[in-house]
Amino acid sequence: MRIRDIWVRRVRHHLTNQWKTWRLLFDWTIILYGVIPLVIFLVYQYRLLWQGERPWLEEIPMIAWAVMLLLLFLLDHFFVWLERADVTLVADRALIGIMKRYSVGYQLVMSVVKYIFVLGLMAPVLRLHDWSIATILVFGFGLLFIAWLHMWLRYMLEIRRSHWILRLLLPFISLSWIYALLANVPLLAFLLGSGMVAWTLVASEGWLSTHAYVSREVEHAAEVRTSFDRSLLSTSGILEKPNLRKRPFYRPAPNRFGSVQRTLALLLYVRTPSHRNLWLRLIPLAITGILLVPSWFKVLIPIYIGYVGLQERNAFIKEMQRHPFFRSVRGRTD
Amino acid sequence: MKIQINQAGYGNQEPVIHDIAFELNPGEIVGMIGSNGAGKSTTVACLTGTIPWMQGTIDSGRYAYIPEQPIYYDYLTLAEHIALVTELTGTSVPRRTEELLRLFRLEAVRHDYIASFSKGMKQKAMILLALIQEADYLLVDEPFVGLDATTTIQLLRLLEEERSRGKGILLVTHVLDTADRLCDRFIWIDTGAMLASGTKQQMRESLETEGKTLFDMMEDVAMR
Repeated sequence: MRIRDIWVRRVRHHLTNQWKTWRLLFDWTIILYGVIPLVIFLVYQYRLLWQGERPWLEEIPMIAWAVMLLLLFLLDHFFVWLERADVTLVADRALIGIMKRYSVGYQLVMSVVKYIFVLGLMAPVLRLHDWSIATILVFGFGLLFIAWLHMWLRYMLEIRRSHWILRLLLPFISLSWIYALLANVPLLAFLLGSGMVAWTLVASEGWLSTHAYVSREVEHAAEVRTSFDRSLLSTSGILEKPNLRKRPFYRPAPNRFGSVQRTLALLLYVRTPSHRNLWLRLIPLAITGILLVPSWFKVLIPIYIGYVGLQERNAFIKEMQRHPFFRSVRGRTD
Repeated sequence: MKIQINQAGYGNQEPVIHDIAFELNPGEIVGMIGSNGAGKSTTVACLTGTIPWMQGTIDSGRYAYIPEQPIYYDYLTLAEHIALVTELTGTSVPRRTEELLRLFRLEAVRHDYIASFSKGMKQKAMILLALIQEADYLLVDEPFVGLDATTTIQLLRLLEEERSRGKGILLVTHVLDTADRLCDRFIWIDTGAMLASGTKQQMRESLETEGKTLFDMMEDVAMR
């Protein structure tokens, strides 16, 4: 059992969990009716973009693109693949050092993949502004470089709990840097970029060799790794949103199953093929109907849809009342 | 092992423990005692370097740590844990490992995930993983929680055996009668600071509780 094996298992375990979460939300009917048509539409639009058939994109100012890219930076996370067991099982800190090196490599690979994708999306827009392929590529490298520095610095600031002015200053410098690149101000871009490099070197001094903040790093990594599943599952209604407070501000109501019951029922409804497929067929039919049916006869279509919805609601409530899960929940909370 | 903690805590720079200083020498068992929430586990977190902030110095040699709550990898079996620990520490003690597996009756489950073990089995697996590291010091945090009577006796014997092999052991516990029987010296932590330290007799003298057991001493101090 080598350290690399355990790291590979950790990443594989995490990616498998993510895949399972996606599969839980999107089964084949949603992919067939929703995802595949959307992908075809987007690919078609992207092709039109390359052909220069979306000239209004040229009107969008460069600062707007810079803000969008900055938001993309801010969404990103830098973390190390450390677990509590790394710290407790063996006192030898070499394991942590090696894990950190692997984590940096992983983060770099993920950043390269992500920013190649972003550059691919932005390339036709830059072509509209008469940028050459070479300039676009240089811009891509610059983007990757600054995004990575930004991520690393943000991680350092979060872990070391730096002053809030530093935390504000960093996005501001990043935004200026991207805008300077987009607006062809190379000297400013160079100055800001090299400043960030220097800052990164200072901030990350000794990071790979000393582990003074190891418990914070472990907690941060756990938060980041579970945030994907949690946000996806809680917004989909499968999970209740986790309470991050240590204790509630007020005493919770004795029966908190109401909202969970409702979200679970909705989820169950969406995940039941007969119910879901009814709407997947009815909605395109209704849209086509409204487009094709002449004059005031169009009004009949939403009325009919509303009637079907009401019937569905009543039928599903009765179905749920017989459902063993909700019967057991009611039995426990009454 | 020399420990000097001026201040340490978890967040907002509010100290949870302060002014704790002691030494752990080879060949002795030092009992860290105190009531719940006194700061014993926080002191151990300082030794293992898992406390968010600390002012002070820790001069620790090679140690192995047995935490209060078993911490392990969900995706590794017991045999894989053993392989990882021996690889990382560079110790190869297959005979000792086999002995301990047999002693703790974990032979049959060595290729199972630790996550599937019962609480007591998990605790035994953690003790095994610490003992095979052949470290100079052992930090043992509440080791008797969740163990059956037979395993508790086995563990006590093992700790005595490790002491006779020249290892320094820090035993954090609030099971006072066991600590009384086993430990050479004590460190009494109360409300985040050291209340007393030394042998039982030295503690009696400093707390003016002549002729009393550890349990009675603690009750006496609580009543003051």
